[in-house]
Amino acid sequence: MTIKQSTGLTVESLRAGYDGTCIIEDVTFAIQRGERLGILGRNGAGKTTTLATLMGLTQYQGGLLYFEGQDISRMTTFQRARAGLGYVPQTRDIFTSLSVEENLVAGLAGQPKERVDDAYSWFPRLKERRCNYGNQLSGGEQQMLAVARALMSAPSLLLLDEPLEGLAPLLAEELMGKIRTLIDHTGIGCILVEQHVDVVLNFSTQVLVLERGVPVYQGTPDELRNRPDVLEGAIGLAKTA
Amino acid sequence: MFESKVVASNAVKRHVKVPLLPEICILVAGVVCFYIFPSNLGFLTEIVVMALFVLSLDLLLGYTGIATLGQAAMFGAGAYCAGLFAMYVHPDPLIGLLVAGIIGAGIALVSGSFMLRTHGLSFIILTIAVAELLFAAANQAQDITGGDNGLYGFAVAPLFGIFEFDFYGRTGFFYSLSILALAFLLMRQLVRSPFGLAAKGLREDQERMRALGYPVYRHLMIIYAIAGSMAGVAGGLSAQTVQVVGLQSLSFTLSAEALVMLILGGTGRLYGALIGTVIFMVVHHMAAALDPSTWMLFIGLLLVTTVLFLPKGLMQLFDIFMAWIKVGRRSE
Repeated sequence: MTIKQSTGLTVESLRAGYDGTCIIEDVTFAIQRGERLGILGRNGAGKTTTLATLMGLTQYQGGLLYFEGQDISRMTTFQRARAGLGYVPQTRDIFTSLSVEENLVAGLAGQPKERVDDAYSWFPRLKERRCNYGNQLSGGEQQMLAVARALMSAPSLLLLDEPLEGLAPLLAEELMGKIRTLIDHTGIGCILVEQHVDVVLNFSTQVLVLERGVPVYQGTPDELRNRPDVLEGAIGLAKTA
Repeated sequence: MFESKVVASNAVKRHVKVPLLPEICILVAGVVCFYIFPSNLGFLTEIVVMALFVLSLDLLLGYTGIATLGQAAMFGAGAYCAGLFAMYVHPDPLIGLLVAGIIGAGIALVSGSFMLRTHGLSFIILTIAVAELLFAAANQAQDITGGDNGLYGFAVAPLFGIFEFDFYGRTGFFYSLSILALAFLLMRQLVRSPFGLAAKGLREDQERMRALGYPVYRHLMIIYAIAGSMAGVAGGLSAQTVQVVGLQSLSFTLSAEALVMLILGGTGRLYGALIGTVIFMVVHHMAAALDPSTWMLFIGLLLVTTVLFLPKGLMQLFDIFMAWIKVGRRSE
């Protein structure tokens, strides 16, 4: 199957950064619908930059970037979103002056208004809090809102940037379970960037490890568990939890 | 026991929603003012027209986060267009108003097509530049616009062929009031719609909206055109009711005053635009009557006091009042 026939995302020798500075280099991976890719690495390894580059939020400097058979490297951010990339950034970016419901409606992007009800069915907690403003939500609720808003546009690939950051362990587990169920149910692909190694290894079907912007490992979670050199060197763990 | 409490709380929460209540309030307030100040209809009409103009600014600044100091460009263009249309094409006020709105939207689309690619200070400077360009053009084209003397000598036909624009300004006042109520209704629908909520999203984070799949530039252009159209209609109303169009309708001062009125009332609230306009115009009117040389001092003091103690504008007083009522209900 060629890149142009692929139904997922194909990245080859991707180079990107900010203001002429190269942050990630030679990043290569492919992910199909229904697959889950976890990206691991220390702080500053280029995980967030990789996701931001996929969304066109950084300076593209070279490499192949194909999504659903079309070259998206020159597309604007909104065109990539319309093409089927759903993005939940690390900062969540909830509109704090809007209520939960208004946040969801503002994120419809041309989708029918009934999608808001879908969001409530995915996360019933949001329905209970639908009149609360963005800044009146807990971290977990904000994250649910960010994920729901991204899923409402019916993406075929969801990009999650550290969705568990700052969440209590129980809440993080619950949210991750919910995300996994939703992804399995809709059959979409997902790229997860996360600091919690165990979460990534349990969630993903394949793992990419970055070190200083360059991939140092790519394989299955089980293989990575047997690679203490990578776990210690690139992630900073003696062993997984 | 628990059930009865729930029922009671639901009863308190249940509101009787009267459709078009805000618009009815605007019309009733206008009628009351008509009877209380029958000899000041010209001034009341001026307030109504300005309120419509400030509403257009609220859509830009309050709802979308587009700070502009050149909204007078669309107001003035609408005013001149309505005057010239009545003079040379057709005297019907409603058709003239429609044309003024189209011209306002057109100016906004043309100027916005390059201005909206910039942000912040660059954008503000460009809005001033566009308004100043139109000001200079109107001043130069004396044969068409009357230059410094203004455009006058055009007559507006009776509204619906029945209501003549009389010397006392009765028709002009109710005509303007009705247009304001209609515009307010449309604005309320707009800001509640997914389109309006997306505008709020743009105000908060344009990058996020792009990532959600919104064509940000196109969305901004549409909003800018809608606001331009409203400003054009306000200008058209001004021309039709006063039947003179002066260069000040394109001036920087008009844009700046509209901004002050909006900040005074509170941005992003719709009602803030109305309240700010009324307070500003009344204080201006009274202070100028007391001492024509120092009226700006009063306005300055009012603005400084409001910004310092009510950073969300005079509408914050309403919020405080509502919070106070809520506390009272809870303690009961």
